[in-house]
Amino acid sequence: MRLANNGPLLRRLSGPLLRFAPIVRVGQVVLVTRHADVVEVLERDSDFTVAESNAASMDRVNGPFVLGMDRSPLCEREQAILARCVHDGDDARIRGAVRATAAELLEGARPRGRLDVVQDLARPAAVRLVADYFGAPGPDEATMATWMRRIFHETFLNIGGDAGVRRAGEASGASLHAYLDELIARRQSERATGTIVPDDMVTRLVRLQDETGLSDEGVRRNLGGVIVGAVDTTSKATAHAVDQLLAHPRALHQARAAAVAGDVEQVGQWAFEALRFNPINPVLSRHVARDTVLAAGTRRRRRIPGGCTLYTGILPAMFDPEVFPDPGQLRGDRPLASYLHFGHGLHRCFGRFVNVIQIPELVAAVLRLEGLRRAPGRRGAIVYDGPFPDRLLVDFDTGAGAGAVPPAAPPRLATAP
Amino acid sequence: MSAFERHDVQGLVVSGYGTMHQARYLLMRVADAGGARRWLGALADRITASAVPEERRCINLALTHAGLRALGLEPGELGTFSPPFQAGMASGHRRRILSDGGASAPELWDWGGSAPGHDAVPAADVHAVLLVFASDEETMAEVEAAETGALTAGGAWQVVRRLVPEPLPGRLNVGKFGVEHFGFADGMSQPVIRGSGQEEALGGDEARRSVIDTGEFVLGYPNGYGELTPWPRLALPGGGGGDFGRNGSYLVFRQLAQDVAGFWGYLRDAVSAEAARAGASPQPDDMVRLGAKMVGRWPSGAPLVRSWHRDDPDLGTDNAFGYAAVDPQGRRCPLGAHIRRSNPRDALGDDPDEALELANLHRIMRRGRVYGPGLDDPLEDDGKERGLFFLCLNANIERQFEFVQHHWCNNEKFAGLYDEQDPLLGTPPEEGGVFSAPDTPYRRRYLGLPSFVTVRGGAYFFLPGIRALRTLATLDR
Amino acid sequence: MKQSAFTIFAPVADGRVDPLVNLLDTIGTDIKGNPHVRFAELVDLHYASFFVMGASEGDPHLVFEGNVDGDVEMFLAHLLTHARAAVDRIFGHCIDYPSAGQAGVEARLRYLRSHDIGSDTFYVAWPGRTVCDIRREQRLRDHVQAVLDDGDRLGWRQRSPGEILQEVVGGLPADLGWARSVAPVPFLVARGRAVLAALLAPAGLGLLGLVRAAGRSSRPGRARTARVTLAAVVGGLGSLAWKLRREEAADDAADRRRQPGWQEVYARWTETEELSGIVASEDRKGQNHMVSVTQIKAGWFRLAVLRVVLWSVDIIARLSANRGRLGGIASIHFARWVITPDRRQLIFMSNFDGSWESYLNDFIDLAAVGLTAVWTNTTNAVGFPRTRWLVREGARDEARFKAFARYSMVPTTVWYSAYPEISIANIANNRAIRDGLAPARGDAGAGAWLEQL
Repeated sequence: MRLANNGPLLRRLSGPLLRFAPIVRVGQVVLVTRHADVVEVLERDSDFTVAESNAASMDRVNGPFVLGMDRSPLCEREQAILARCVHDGDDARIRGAVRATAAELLEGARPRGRLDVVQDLARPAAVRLVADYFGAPGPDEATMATWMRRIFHETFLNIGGDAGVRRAGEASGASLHAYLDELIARRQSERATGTIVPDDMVTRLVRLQDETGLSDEGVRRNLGGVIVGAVDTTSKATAHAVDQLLAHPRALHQARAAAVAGDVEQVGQWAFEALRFNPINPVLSRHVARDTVLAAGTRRRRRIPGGCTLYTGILPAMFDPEVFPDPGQLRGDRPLASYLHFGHGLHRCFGRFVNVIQIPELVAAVLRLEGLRRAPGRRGAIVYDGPFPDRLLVDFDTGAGAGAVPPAAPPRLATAP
Repeated sequence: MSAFERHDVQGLVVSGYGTMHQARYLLMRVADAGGARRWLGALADRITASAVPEERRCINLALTHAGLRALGLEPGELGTFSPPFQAGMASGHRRRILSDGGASAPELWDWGGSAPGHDAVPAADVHAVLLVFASDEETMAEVEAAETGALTAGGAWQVVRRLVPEPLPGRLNVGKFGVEHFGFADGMSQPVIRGSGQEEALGGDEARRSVIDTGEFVLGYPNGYGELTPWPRLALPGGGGGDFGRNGSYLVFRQLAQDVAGFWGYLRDAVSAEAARAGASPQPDDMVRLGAKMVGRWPSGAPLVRSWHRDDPDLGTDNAFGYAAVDPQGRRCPLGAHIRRSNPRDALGDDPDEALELANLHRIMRRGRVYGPGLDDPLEDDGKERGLFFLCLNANIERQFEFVQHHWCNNEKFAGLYDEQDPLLGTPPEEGGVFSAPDTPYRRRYLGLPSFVTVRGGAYFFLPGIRALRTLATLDR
Repeated sequence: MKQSAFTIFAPVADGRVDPLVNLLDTIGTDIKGNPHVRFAELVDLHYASFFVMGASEGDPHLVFEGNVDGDVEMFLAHLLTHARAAVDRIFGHCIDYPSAGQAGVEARLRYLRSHDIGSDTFYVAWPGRTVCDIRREQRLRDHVQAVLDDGDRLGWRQRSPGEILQEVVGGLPADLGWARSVAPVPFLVARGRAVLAALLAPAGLGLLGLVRAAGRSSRPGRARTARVTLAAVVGGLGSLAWKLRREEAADDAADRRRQPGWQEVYARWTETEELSGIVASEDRKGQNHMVSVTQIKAGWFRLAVLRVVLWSVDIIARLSANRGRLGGIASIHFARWVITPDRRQLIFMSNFDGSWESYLNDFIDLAAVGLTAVWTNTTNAVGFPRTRWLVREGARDEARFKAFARYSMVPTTVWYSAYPEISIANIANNRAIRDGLAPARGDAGAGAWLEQL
């Protein structure tokens, strides 16, 4: 886990791999690092599959969800249903909601002059978006946050199969389960009686039932699956982006200028570029379903035996000079389509349409803080709980009018490696 | 080893002929050996091979031990067939292995049994089964008349029983699969034969779990151990006949009558009794829930492992699941549930990968069809017989079909249990069977399960390759 | 209490095989109600069987074998008090049995003891578990199950696991009072693996010391001795391996040449009455008994290898494989190999859960190495499958191994099991249920305990 979040070390390992061993196999494990090959693996979803590694953990607390399904009529159907739950005009709504939440949360932190990017901003903002946009606030915010944490812990982090974590995750899963069942039933009966219902994900899924025949259980599974992955990923991305910007002062300077100028789109460019230096998933694993050939027609061509576990190097691929010229530079002008933060292909993150808005907004809110800097000493480093950030402390000036004054130019420093 | 000889292997091995809505199973007896052999030679040209696309009609033929003897095979040759095939399904040890006692005893069978003296067809008279399939009723009428005419011509064969399954897609139409009489979707989980070409269509986890070596179903190819299962040989003049069994398979045929009203009546009584003990009234879906616990899937086919608290028709065809990672204790799908017994997947043993590998040494290819009219009110018996013509193919009857039946389905000690049988298929003791379902704070236990399925007939057949049929036709004995 | 095994191997007198088998049949077909032996009264007897082997070869022997709690001598004395007449009638068909009326119990006991060839390898699934333990823990489990069924009516479903456990413990009837104490674990079950390690360590260390000494130049004299010793050890093992491979190659070559081939031999045999005679007694209960007799291959070498392998398996069974599993197989209650006094035959006797087919599948899938190492040194008309390096291939040849094993079987005429309804897994689970009653536990512990029911 430590290793997976050690951006600098992974970057150092990437260079030689990309250059000399773009496809390495040791026994039953294969590592692929070039951008083109990673994209190929993620696109060939019937040769390189996910159910092997993802289905069981999804099943334990939620039940089947597209994230753990290989290409099949069911997977395609449910992805299509989910896609139809996103409407035009949601962008503006999400942006408005995140911006308002961020402002409120920062207001609370302002008197202290110190902000925990994870606990004070990113996690609560994501939980509130789940409440508002997805429509599942939970019995109360604290209970919901606890459920999500425990479920998330069991689903994605409990690699050793710790019994206590599993029990807690399954218990929270069951509680969320019951809560969602009741929520769905209530929404259905409200619709039936003509009560005005909020336009959220729950309502949209319930509406689609008429047309698609999606069962009540199907609504619950999909809702559960979407919200389980919605919080900790957002907070990790926000924390890593801020952390990397703080480590690259020149980029930080330009990003802050954009934030202050209100150019959130440009902040997004900086945020996703910064995230390239320490992505939320430095590798994604796939199961090799059958004997196959990778990178056919290139000099890297390699036969891969079925049954192997294949890791696609998301981080190395984003340092592939073919696609990211001058990869060591943190630049604000790279095409967003090249990034692999949301994965690629069949299992591209469903939450991307939320997070292309939410993450830049949250990062911009932090960047706008007057005199933004890392908390001094060791406290300024990210503290992890498993692979997920638990704390990232930043300090800022609390003086009157803070936030309005453009930040001072940073000292000229050598570019970070 | 050589590639799958799809022109020689009978089509039933690779297909259940899902587009053939009509089927007839004609049980036949050799009346005149010479004529019977001549008919076989002509039939061989009409047999549907694995390579032939199904269009309007399909014909397959399988023979019993008695049939092969009647056609002129000699003791030294008959001994090369698998011992259970030689002994026959109704023989003493086989019936113990299959738990065919009580109402299912072979003495009471309508065909294939052991009691002379009532109007049943004894095992000695079941020599062959002609499996006729047609796309529609009209075609069936035509094909059946033609085939019956051909085989009885000149007194070569006699038809001793004509078995008529319900037209597909069975009682209810739920897409790809049929629904058996108890009301549960059936036929989702089938092995896929390596080398048949069908494995190409399978993705990911399902491929890992379901693709089985050719030799597990067809003789003459490497089986799950990488070995060749010994196949039947003939001793022909000039030293031929050594590859008689190649491309053949063993066909298990059982007529299983289902007591639909008995099943739902038991569920009704069990849930009312349970509610009464707890001082509550039964909920409307309690019966289906208990039924699903016994089956291991919901009526739609959705597996309990993946949808454990209510039915989810979207998961109705789901087959890419295991038990070890999600449900080792059977809290979702009870250890004794029918589908968990009949294919435990990765559940038995400490290492799921090894468990799956070992369980896959005991797979069967099911080819059955439903018979008898559906019961309109599942709680009200109408006195008509209904059930399943259970057909399955395997290369090793003992290690595959009988093992599933004996060591998994009917084994009281299955997966560490004590005194339970398969709640659907099992033959419970006289005081009634037991079924337990883990729950909190402690298991629920259902006692006094009667037998819901009665065996009405059955036999072990050999489904020869097409060349082997021609060899039989040319025997001069 | 320790478990022991006896294998009384007694030559049958001329012309007495048929009456003997007929007598045994009357017992075997009615194991509970027969007038001769009331097995159930022999409370220290787990399993017992009678069978006759070697009749068709003109060298018939009656085998009476069993697994008991405590000493064999105690058991036999016990048997003679309970069923002396039956023992007289049965062994009266054997050569030199002290004829009835003339001799006392002592003479009979001496006869039985002197014909007991014991075992070369003896496996016990759960050492220390007596017939009494196994039966009464099953009664405990049945009791608790009934109590839980009642619990539904008493509103226990609304209560916590801890409370339910307390109710169960509080409500134990007097005759189950013993269940409040934890069952003892024999020393070798708890510490056997450590003992095994301690036994192996000196050998390993000695070898290591030898290698080090051989490489040391400071003491040339010692180094020379060490090198010579090392060379002798390596050379000795090497030549044994070479000898083994030559034997195996010769066996394989002979097998290729043989006419008719094994499949034909086996096919002919399956058509005979012999196979039906063997399966006739199988699968009447959930447990089965298997007796296999094979011929040890000719020559001192195979006998020596067989003895070493049997001894090694015996050590492993006593020290390491003593928790319900032998080489991964979790269905054997008791199993035994013994070489006959003439050193020409190997008898295997086993009591197991499930059918012969499932048992053999376990052999092949889980324990092919060990079984190959034993049986490859023996043969019969089918022949053991081709083996390399003592443990490779062999039993993995499924069809031939099954044919070899089937063909080697001798019908069990009388077979008694003290607990035919209780499987290996049940014994372990019943014990866990009992052990879970004793200490006070939290809800999590009580929840886990309830899952065993």
